[in-house]
Amino acid sequence: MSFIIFILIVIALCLFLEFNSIIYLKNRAKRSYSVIDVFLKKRFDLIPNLVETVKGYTKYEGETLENLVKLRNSFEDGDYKAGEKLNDTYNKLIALTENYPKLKASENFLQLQKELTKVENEIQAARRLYINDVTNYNTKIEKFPHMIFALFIGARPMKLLSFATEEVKVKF
Amino acid sequence: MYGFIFPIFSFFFLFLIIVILVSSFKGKKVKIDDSVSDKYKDIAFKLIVGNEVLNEERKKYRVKHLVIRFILISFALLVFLSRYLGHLTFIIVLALVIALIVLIVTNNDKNSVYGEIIPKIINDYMKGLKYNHYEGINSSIYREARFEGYDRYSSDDLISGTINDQNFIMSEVHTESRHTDSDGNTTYTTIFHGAFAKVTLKKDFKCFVNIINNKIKLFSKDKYITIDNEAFEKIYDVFTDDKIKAMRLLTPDVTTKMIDLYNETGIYCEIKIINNILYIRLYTGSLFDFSFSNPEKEARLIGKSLAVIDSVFKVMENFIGEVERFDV
Repeated sequence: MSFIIFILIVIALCLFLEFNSIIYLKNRAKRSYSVIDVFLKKRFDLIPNLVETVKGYTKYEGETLENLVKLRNSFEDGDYKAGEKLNDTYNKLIALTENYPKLKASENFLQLQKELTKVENEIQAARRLYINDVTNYNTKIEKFPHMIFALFIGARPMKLLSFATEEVKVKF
Repeated sequence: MYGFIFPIFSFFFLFLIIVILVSSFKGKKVKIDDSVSDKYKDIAFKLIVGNEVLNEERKKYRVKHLVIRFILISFALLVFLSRYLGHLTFIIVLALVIALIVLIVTNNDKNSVYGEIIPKIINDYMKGLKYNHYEGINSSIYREARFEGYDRYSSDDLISGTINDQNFIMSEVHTESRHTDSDGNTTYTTIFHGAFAKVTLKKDFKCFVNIINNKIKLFSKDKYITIDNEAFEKIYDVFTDDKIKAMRLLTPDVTTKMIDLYNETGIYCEIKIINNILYIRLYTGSLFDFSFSNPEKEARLIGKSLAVIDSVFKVMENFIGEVERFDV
């Protein structure tokens, strides 16, 4: 009888550890996702400065700048779909700066460029962190025998990246 | 009926935990890969052959050993002939003992090896490196790196210099833990024995990054990060209080170079970055062991130490290069 109780205690302990482990990995991946979000916001917070700096040197990119500010405001208001368009417009603007050598040489722009490069690196690091954490979680719930318990508690694999943060690397 | 199983299981479980803990703290045995060993042996051989002081000292050493052998053979002969020589035996034995003592007392092999020969070999190998056998890294510096605790600390073979305009020091460090059994007998077990280096970086990371061998996770899970390099993950664990900075620092290039170094030399390496200081620990065993023999054997001994110096340099260059690109 005591042996059966012992076995039951061991099984209960294993299930308890398994459950905690899956939840821990899932929350870790979620937290890594929110870190990407933090750095994306940090990058978009640089947009007003970028717009001001670019304005002084360019005459023909008014529409792009206006569009950028609008999208940024929508993103700030919680419209996360605007994030993807914001990325595109932002990348477009960065590419346009190539046409303005005076802008590229200005001190403000150089400072901004430095900050942007730093944020881009941080986003890339956050992305790698997220991918690793999601891979850990997905591997855990897809491996035998963990998959049985994962199915039982309804744990589903997470997507590696759900929005276009992969193409945000800016090349100066 | 099965009541005995529970205590057996508990005992087995406890035993397993103790074994894992003890093995994680025990010093790792080091064997530098043979091909690497041969490569550095060849480098050391060239340096040894061109070292005039070493060639002179080797000759003196051989002569001295011939004399010692002669004295020892004479002793044996005296014992055999003592019945024929009478009280003359006492005088000859006394003379031989004095000669032997003089030879041993005037033994300056160690001084010439560690005072002249090895510093020159190291300097010939890498210009600007300073070597001092009698000095080591202070235990307070080793403690700053926050490695595991110890009861006994010793350090010698200090090497100092600059790398990419950044000062560094490295030396052999040996840490041990003390155990006293129920009879009061004290023994020491090696915790770490190998090369330890410290480099002051130009940038302050304002965080710690700790890269250690895969063993037991001594830090909380929250401080542990997974690196996107499978080979690296198999050998190292990374702990940090700033995951983003750690990920930025440990680029695929850095991690690949660390794996390459491990695959090439087979040397375990531990790295800590605490704010603006980089600490490196390599499980290499003792450094700069030397004894006179033929140049081939001497080159093998010296070559091992050169391989260690080179490994420390590769790790330092790898991180310093990344730090220079890093925008804190």
